[in-house]
Amino acid sequence: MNTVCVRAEKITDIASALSRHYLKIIAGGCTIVPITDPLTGKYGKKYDGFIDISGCRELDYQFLDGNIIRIGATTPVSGILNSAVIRTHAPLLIESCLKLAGTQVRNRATTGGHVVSQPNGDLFNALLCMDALVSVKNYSLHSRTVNINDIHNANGEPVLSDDEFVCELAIPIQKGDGKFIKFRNKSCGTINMSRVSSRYCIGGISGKARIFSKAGEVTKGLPAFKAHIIKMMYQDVNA
Amino acid sequence: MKEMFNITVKVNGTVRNLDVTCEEKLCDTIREKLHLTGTKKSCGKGVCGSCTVLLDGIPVNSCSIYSWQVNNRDIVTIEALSSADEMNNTQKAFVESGAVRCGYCSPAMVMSFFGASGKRPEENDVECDCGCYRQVNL
Repeated sequence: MNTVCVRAEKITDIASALSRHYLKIIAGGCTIVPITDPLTGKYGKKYDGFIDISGCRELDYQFLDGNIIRIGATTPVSGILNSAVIRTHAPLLIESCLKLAGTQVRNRATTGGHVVSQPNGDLFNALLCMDALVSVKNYSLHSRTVNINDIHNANGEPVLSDDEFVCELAIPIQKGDGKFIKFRNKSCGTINMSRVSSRYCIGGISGKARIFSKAGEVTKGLPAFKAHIIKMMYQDVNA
Repeated sequence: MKEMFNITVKVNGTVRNLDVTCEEKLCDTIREKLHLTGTKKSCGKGVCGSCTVLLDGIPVNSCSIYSWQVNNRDIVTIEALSSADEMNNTQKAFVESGAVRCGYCSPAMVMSFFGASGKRPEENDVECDCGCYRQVNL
């Protein structure tokens, strides 16, 4: 069978292609392209080809809808950084995006792709702390909404089926102040932590980022050095 | 035999028609088919940034993009920045400030700088994970 490579420009193009073929969805491709081999199935499922949804302009937007910020799934991370709405109403997202990889990745990585493929990612951490909702559609354009905390299983694998794609993130406006910090070290890896009012989120210590309320909840069972780092980060994020 | 896709791309101002496989990375096409070897391939997984090119004027890692994804788009590589006997201002600035070590990833640093120029300072934070130069903050 011939390999299928589709560049979708509309939501209906995505649905149509997914209804006819078993395709691996790519957008920015920053995670998927370099490390997986979806056509041979060497590292997992074997697909008929690819569908690139990064050119779907219908899903590239950011606007305020009452008390909710709506971000389209193909909005690149650099698009979040450039958004006046997000800068005003969700500065925590800006803080996390500035820590996310380098300029080249921020220019390509899409918000939807990040949410699905980076359960310990910087932007994911901030979105989880802000209790975002993820809207997904399938090939028949049937929609459902998933809380961002439920988008991965405990191992950090996405729970979406192969014919589903992320369309939008709905983020309640940040109430109170917020802060995002990131710590990188060879011994304990990368740990990120965000806070909105008294809601905390930590990433980098398990399969996926998690919500907590006190540092003691997440340091149990960890090596002393790592636990110490987390306690210091907890103090910093509250400073 | 792998299936080939025909793509049309504008590379450094010249329109090129190329046959690429569906799994061919943009950096491989640039280096192997267009022989523009100023674009370096190092980590191959979108971390180091050595393969930076401008895609529609924006710096991107060419190892993280399939070549078929750039059909009908505009690519600029380091070769376009200078003529045979004169360097671009960005390149001159790098030389004058001594921002060069082994030189392997220097083209990518220059492309990142060149692509980021004109943006707001907070978006201009160009980082490089070169082993010698831990960070270059512009």
